[in-house]
Amino acid sequence: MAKILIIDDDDDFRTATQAILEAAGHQVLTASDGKVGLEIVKAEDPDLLVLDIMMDSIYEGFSVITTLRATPEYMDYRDIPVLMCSAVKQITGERFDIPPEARIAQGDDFLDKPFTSEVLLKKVNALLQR
Amino acid sequence: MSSQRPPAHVLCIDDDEVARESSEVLLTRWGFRVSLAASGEAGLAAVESDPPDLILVDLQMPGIDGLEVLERVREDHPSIICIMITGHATLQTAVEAMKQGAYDFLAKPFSPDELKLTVARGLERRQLILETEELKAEKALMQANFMTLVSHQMRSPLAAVRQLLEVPASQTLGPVPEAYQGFIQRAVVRLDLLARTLNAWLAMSRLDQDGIDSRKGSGNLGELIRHLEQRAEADVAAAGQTLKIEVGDPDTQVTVDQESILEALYNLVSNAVKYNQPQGVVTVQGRTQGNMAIIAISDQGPGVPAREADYIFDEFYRSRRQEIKAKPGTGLGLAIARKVARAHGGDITVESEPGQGATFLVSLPC
Repeated sequence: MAKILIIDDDDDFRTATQAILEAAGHQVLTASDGKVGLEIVKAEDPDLLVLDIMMDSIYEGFSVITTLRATPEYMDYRDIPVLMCSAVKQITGERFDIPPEARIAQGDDFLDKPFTSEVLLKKVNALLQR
Repeated sequence: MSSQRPPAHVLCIDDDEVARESSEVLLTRWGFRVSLAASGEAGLAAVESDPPDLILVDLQMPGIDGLEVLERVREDHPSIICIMITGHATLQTAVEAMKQGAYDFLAKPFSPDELKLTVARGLERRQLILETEELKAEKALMQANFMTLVSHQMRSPLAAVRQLLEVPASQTLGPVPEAYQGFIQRAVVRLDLLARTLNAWLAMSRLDQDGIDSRKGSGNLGELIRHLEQRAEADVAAAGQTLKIEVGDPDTQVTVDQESILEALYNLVSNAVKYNQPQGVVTVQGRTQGNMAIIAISDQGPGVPAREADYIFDEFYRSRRQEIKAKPGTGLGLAIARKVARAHGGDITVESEPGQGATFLVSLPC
């Protein structure tokens, strides 16, 4: 069992993702924006972030990663793996460019929304075992 | 829609001061805003600094003459109406001016009534052009707004609904009574097809000639088919079918937007797999024929009856035949393939004998 933080501004996605992860035995925390999410990271030290990268703007999600990986304040948390979720491919039909400052780490992963339980759990387990 | 327009702006380009000024007096009296230029050079400068609706230009001037003014204005400001003023009312010069795109001509000497009538007709034409341009811009904006509506306002909730449905579909919270399972699965299938249809429709709306032209690069036929093979082989194998590749002229050069062409060809292979007989063979063949590269994709399915061959490439056309209707489809795969092929200067056709499978032929200039 792992402690997983879901950061997503879409209530329905959050609820569905939470249900799937809890049913698989994980402890789930949720935040509806990046700022609250980062506070929870410090307070709860989760094992994994499931992060929507297309919240208010595509850069809000990436700025969470940038803050996590590149500010001294988050020094102790920069190794937390991140599963980036997005309906961007769905919405625009194209892949987004990842800004270099987002410091995507090796082992971080992507997941297109909507996803099946099977794919979500497979990716989550792979990241947790890293 | 159109608001009150300011008075029409007429530019007179004439090296003859008397002619210039008499035109100015008349046109001003009729309520037009008038600018004057004493040479072709000054006239072209005036067009750039304060573009008029209509230009009266003298054919014969030292330096840049009337025909050259006409040519340059047609090139840079095609919506500006040019009327050629000619001292030699020979048919020849008038014809030449009209050929170069003058809207009309006036032979010196002309009466105030002739001038008034010709300018009025020219401005009517100008009005029509401007309104057409406005309508086009409005249409483009509506189209863009519609795309945004479809992509954001419809796709996002659709994705959210699908995500919510995933919880009961995967029986996340405990077993779902069997009586309900079929209903949930059917809802999932319909939602997934709806999402695919929206995707395909968006992809097709986004396919435009300029985009394809800007992404075109040179490659060869063998390479293109190899990419197609890499992309499709897992799907063909997963369906228990065999993919056969035959490339006759692998070095044939083709200039293509690889992304859209591969998408189109992949659609064709997916169709071949979908309608093929069990354990059937899908054949992808590349060859040249005259100055065209041909990529032929064949299956061993029910084939396409001749009466449907004209329609299957139309948007949203779905055959009513049971063996086709039974398989989910968006009705857009072939329409996308044709749009892509035609945007490359090629085309797509189908050859089929009922019961003997179908061969889809994509031609590309080489």
